[in-house]
Amino acid sequence: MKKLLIYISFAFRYINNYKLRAFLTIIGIVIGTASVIDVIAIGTGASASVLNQINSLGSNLLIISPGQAKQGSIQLGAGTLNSLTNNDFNSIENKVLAPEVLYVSASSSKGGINAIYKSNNSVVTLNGITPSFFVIRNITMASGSYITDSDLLSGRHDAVLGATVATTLFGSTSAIGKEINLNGNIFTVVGVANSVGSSSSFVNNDTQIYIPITVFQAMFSGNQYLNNILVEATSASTMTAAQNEVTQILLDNHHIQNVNNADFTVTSQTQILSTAGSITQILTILLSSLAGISLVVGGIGIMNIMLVSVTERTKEIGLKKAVGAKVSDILTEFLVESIILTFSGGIIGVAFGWLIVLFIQQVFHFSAILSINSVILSLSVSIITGIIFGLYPSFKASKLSPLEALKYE
Amino acid sequence: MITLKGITKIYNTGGNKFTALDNVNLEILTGEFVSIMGPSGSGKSTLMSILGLLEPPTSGEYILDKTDTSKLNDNKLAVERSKHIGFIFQSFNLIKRLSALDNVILPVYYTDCVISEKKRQAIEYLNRVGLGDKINSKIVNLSGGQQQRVAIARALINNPSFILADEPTGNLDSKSSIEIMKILMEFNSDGKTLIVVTHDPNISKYAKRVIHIFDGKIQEK
Repeated sequence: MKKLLIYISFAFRYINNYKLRAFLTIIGIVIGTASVIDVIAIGTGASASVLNQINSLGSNLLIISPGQAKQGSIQLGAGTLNSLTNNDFNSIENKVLAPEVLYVSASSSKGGINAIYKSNNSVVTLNGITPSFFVIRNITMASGSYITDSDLLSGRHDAVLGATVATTLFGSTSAIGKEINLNGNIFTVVGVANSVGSSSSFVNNDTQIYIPITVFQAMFSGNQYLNNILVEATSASTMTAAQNEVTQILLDNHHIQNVNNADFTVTSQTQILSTAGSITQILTILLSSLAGISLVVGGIGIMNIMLVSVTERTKEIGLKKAVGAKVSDILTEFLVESIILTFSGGIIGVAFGWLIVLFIQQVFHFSAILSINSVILSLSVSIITGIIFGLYPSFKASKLSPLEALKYE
Repeated sequence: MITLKGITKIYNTGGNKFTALDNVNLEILTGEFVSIMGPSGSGKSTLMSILGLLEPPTSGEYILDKTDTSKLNDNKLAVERSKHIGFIFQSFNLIKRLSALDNVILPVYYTDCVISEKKRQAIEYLNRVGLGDKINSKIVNLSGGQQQRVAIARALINNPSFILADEPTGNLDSKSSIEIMKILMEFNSDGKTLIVVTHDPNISKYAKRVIHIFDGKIQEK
C-alpha cells in the first residue's frame, strides 16, 4: 500500500511535468468515455420515454388492429385492411362473450383536419371514439365533460379538444360551449382534456380532437370500419384470457377457422413494452459498442505514448534499477501511470459526457438519463484500458537490463 | 568486505568471444579507499559493473558481506544493490525534473525505510556536500559539480557498505573535481568504503590503494 501511494505520487509528478502531453494522450479516452456515457444516457432516456408512452396508453391494455391489406401481390403495412367493424366492437362489449374484458373502446382517426375558431386555426388529427376511450387511455378533462353514450346515440356534434388545440384556438379563454369548424362542419366544444405533457410520443394526445364515433363515421370516414379497438382486461392476471376471448370473438365474426389466417392482430401492452424495451436495449448496446471503439483507439494512443515514455526514460529506469528497484517496482510504476492517465481521461470524459447530457436536456428537451451504472461502467472500462494498453510498455520497461539502460543515450 | 574469486567475464558479440575480465581475484576491506585504474578497454568498466551487481560474471565468485551474489536472481540482486552499494556515475544520472532532495531520496523508495526519517537524513547529507541552500532546486538549475554532489548524497542515503564511483570527476572542471574528491575522502575517513574507477592519475592519487587493470587482468601496486 505504501509503495502504491509512492507510485501514484511518482505518476502525478511525471504527469504534472508533461501536462500538455498527458492531456493530448488522454483525449481519446475522454472522447470515448463521454461517447459511451452519452449514448447510454440517450438510449436509457429514449427507452424510458418510449416505455412511459406505452404505459400512458392505459393499463392491462389490448390493442386490436386491422390486418395487412394487399394491393395486387404487394402486402401493405399493418392496419391497412378494413377488417374491424362496429359489429366487432359490439361483440367484444358483450360481457357474456368476453367476461374478462372490463372496458372496450372503438376509434377511427383522420389526420390533416383543419379546425377553425374565428380567426384561429389548427391542423389536427380527428378521432371518432366511444366514451370508454377516455377511461382506457387515462385521459381526464381539464374542463367540461366527456363524450357520452348519449352523444353517440343522438349523433350530436360535440367535440373534446386536446390541451394544445384548445390553447391554439381559444388562448386563455374558455372553449366550453364555443363552436368550432372542422373541415366545414360545426361542432360544439363540450370538454378540454388535461395535457398529457407528451412531446415526442407516437400519438400526441394534446393535438387531437375527439368526437363521437358515430358522427365521425357519418361525416368523415363514410364507412363502418374502425382503425382500432382498445380493450382493457379486468386485471393483469386475466390479460391472456381476455386476449383469447377477443381473438375468438373476432375469428367467429370474420368466419375464420385458423388463427394463422386472422385478418387482425391482438397485441398486449406487455408485448409492446417487451418489444420496445428489447429494441431500445439492442440499439443502446450497439451504439455503446461503437462508442467503445473510440476507447480502444484512445487506449492505443496511451500505449503509443507510454512506449515513447519508456524509451525516453530508459536511463531513468536503469538508475532506478541500479539503486534497488525490482522488476515488479518498475512494472507497477509504469502501470500505475498508465491507469492514472486513462482513469483521469475517464473522469474528465464522465464530466464532459454529463455536460453534453445537460445540453441535450436543455436544448433538445430530451430526457437523456445519466445513470450511475453507465458512469461506473465507463470508469471501469477506462481503468481496464489503462491496464491492457499499459501492460506491454510497463513490461518492456521492467525487463530492461540496468546496465544497458544506464548506457542508453 | 568484498571478495572476488576467479572472476571471468566473456562477451559473445556476433559469434566473437571477447574476454573482458580474466580470472580476477580481489579483496577489498571495509573502510578502504581503492582506486581501479586502467586505460580504455582494459576491463575496468566491466569490473565496476560486476562489483555493482549490474551484470553477472561468466564464472567465478563474488562474495559481498558473506553473501555469494552469483546465486541471486534479479530481484535479490536489486535488494543487495539497495542495501550495500551506493553508485556515483560520470554523467551523474540524476532525474532532471526532480529537485535535489527528491533525487537524494529516490533509493529510499525501494526499501522499507520510513521516508520522513530518511528525508531528514537526506537534508543532512545535502548540507554536508555544501548544497544546504539548493535542497529544493531543480537539477537543471545546478552546475555539474553541484549535480555530482547531489549524486554523492544519493549514494549515501541508504547507508551502503561501499560507494562505487565510476569516473566521478570525468565531466567536471579541475576545481570541481578537487572539491568532489575532498568530499569523497571525507566520507571515507568516516569509515565508508570507497571504490573509484578512473583513468585519471590525478584522481587515483587520492586513494590509499590503487589497482591497475590491463587486458582484463589485475596488477596491484
